[in-house]
Amino acid sequence: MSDRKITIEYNDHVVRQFLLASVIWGAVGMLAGVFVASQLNYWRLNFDLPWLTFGRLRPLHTNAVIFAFVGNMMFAGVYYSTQRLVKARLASDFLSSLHFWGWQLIIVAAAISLPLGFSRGKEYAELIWPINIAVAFIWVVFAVNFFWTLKRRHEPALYVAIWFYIATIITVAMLYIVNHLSLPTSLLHSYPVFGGVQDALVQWWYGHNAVAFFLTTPILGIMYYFVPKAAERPVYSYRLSVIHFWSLVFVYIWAGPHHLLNTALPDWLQTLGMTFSLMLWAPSWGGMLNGLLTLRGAWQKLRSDPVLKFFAAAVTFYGMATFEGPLLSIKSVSALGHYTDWIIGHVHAGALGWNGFMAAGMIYWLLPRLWNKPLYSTSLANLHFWVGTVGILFYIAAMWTSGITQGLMLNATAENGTMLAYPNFVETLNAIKPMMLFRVLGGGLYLIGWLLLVYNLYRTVRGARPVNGTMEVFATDRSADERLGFGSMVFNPPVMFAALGTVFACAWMFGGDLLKLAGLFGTALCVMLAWVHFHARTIRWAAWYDRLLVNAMPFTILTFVAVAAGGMIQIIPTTLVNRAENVEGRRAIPYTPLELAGRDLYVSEGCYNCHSQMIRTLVPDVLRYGDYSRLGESIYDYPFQWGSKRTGPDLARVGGKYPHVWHYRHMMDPREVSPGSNMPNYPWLFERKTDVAALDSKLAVQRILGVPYPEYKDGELLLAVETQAKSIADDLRASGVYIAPDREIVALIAYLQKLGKHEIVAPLKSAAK
Amino acid sequence: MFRRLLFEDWVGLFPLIALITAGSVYATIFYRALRMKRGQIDRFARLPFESESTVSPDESK
Repeated sequence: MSDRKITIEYNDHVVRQFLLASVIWGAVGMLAGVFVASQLNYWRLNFDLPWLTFGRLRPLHTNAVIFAFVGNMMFAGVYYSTQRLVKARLASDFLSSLHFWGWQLIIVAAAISLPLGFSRGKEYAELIWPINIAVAFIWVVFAVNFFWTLKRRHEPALYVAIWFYIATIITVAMLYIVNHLSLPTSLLHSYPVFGGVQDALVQWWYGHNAVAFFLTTPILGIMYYFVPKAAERPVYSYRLSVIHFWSLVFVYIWAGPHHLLNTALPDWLQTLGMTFSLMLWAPSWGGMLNGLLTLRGAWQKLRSDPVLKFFAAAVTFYGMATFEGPLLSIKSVSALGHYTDWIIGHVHAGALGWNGFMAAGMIYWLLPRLWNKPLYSTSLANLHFWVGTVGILFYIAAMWTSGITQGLMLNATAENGTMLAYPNFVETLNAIKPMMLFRVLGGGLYLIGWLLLVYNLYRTVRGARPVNGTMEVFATDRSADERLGFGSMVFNPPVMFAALGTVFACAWMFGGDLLKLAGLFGTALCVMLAWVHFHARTIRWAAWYDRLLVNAMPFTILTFVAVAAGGMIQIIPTTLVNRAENVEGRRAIPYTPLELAGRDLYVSEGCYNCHSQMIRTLVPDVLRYGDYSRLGESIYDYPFQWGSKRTGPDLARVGGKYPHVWHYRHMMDPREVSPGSNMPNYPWLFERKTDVAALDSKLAVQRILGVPYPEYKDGELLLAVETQAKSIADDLRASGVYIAPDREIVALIAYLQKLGKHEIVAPLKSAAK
Repeated sequence: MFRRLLFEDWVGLFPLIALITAGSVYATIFYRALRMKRGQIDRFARLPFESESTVSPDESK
């Protein structure tokens, strides 16, 4: 180490930018949340306008809260803490600015495109493909800026918060890219490359881990930096933080299938998802206790310090949400809670309690330090805390009550389980309406609390001069002993034994007779040799680990291997096995061109936000909706539309259940045929023409994806569309309503009437034996 | 539901392999974390507490 000292000035400008953006987008996202919650109570708030309907605004709310509010907060926290932990200014001011403005541009593009109905139809992955590319690009900019900063660091050791940030950056990149792989049909539309069950698995591998690696790991990193700073004492147990990190990295990534319990997903994947979800209890609570116990000896400060109040409550909500998550992943609990408001309550305990309160605590702590001026009002911040806390409690208590009530009603049977106790779905919906109103009240209070923060922030920074942190550090030259190159990272006893052991274990599990035997011996030999070598050369093993802790890139690569393994072992077998040609029993009949156009409207309007298309292997589901859904019945669905919430009934077998005119009247005014419904009216579907011109490129992409569409010659495609549309319009006219065949409603009716139609595929002779 | 070709038997082993792999690697890491030296732990834990001062961006130009 050199004796020469240099002064570093941190780039806190970009921290301020992200912080302010988070505050503003947070208010927008929460306002959208309160509005869509109100729409569920008062359907008239949909205003019969396409861009204000629930199905389009709910994705706006979720995307705004996840990517705009928490995203900007995360970037602010990561950039602030990383610079100080590694004692280096962010590597590039240009990349920092590009990151900030690029991310805001993406948010604006999302805020415009989602209400206009441009959607990929997958939760938290709705944004269209050009925006997906922009997100991937800006994420790479973030990664380059971050790792470049680590490269220039003056502190060799990597604090555990940095580990969480590294895991976030690489895992989110992996998840986002895989789940957004699409084939464009136009500038604004695409189909995902995965369909049916494959798409369901990939989506929830992404969806679950978006929660894990976008809403949890970076915020845990922020917790490990800001909670000790605010409490003015080191983290309770650094050892526990290390264990917390590795446990989450190894376990979290496997748990996605718990979103698909009791569905047509293969049973081994459901078991896998449930098992790993239960394993999450231990590390999550370890982390929570570590966060709370960091406040040991500082509890009295909670009475006066709003920052600590927010942090203590946030960590408590983290513990509560991570207790509830594994609980809901138990198959029998999921049978009750899935598709109901219980899940919404669970998600909001995390989003409002954990993310929102961590954001508030961090912002109140940063404001005086970034603007060199005391917080305008501590009392207002304390008021924010209490209003917000009451809001969260209202919200989650209402959603628990609502979810369990509706779950029990939907699952209740009579006559020894042969009949439904509440056969009318709307009856269960009306039973929970008071709770839905309480949810609006809770969300409203939380929003008011946030607006208090906005006002406090405004009064604090008004007239204040922003300041940047500086620090004197020794100019360091890292010694060769500390460096860990790629060769040293891979060719060392721990990694080599682990890799060989895995190879032998695979040979043992999957190999033929001889290979199986070799694998068994190889695995046993590997374990024994590793044990002996470890005892004989403990220092070498320890030295490798110590060097790993101060070398960012090898650490990153090994973390990537850990998270990638979890995804690969679920996704690769599923994509190889679950294909249309392997289906036996029931297989979907490809949609006609008109039905495909109708399906795209269903996706665009966000119908999946309220309707599932998956009848679970549960008696009440079968009694209510028909025979349980088979895997092959959605094999041609790009994207899958199994859904995750039933504000309305399941539609998997709605085809043929009602006449065309029922759907016509239902879409015009749902209450005409279903009194008490809270579904919006869709008058524009009766005015707009179906986009037949787009079908050519859509069918071409579907063919590439493996859907057996014929090649249409000149005019054949148009003729097929017109013939089917005319048949539906004629049927409607016979029922007393007139509609031109080229209107969107006709395509949508065609699609809805197709749902549940399938062909029977005979089992293979070899299998029948 | 699916053609019972090559897959049905061995896919059932995936949860087992997953558990063994994750469990063994996790056990190793757990052990290493427990064996970290007291001095090393204290140094890491105190990393967020380096003192700093502030400067106005205008002054620094």
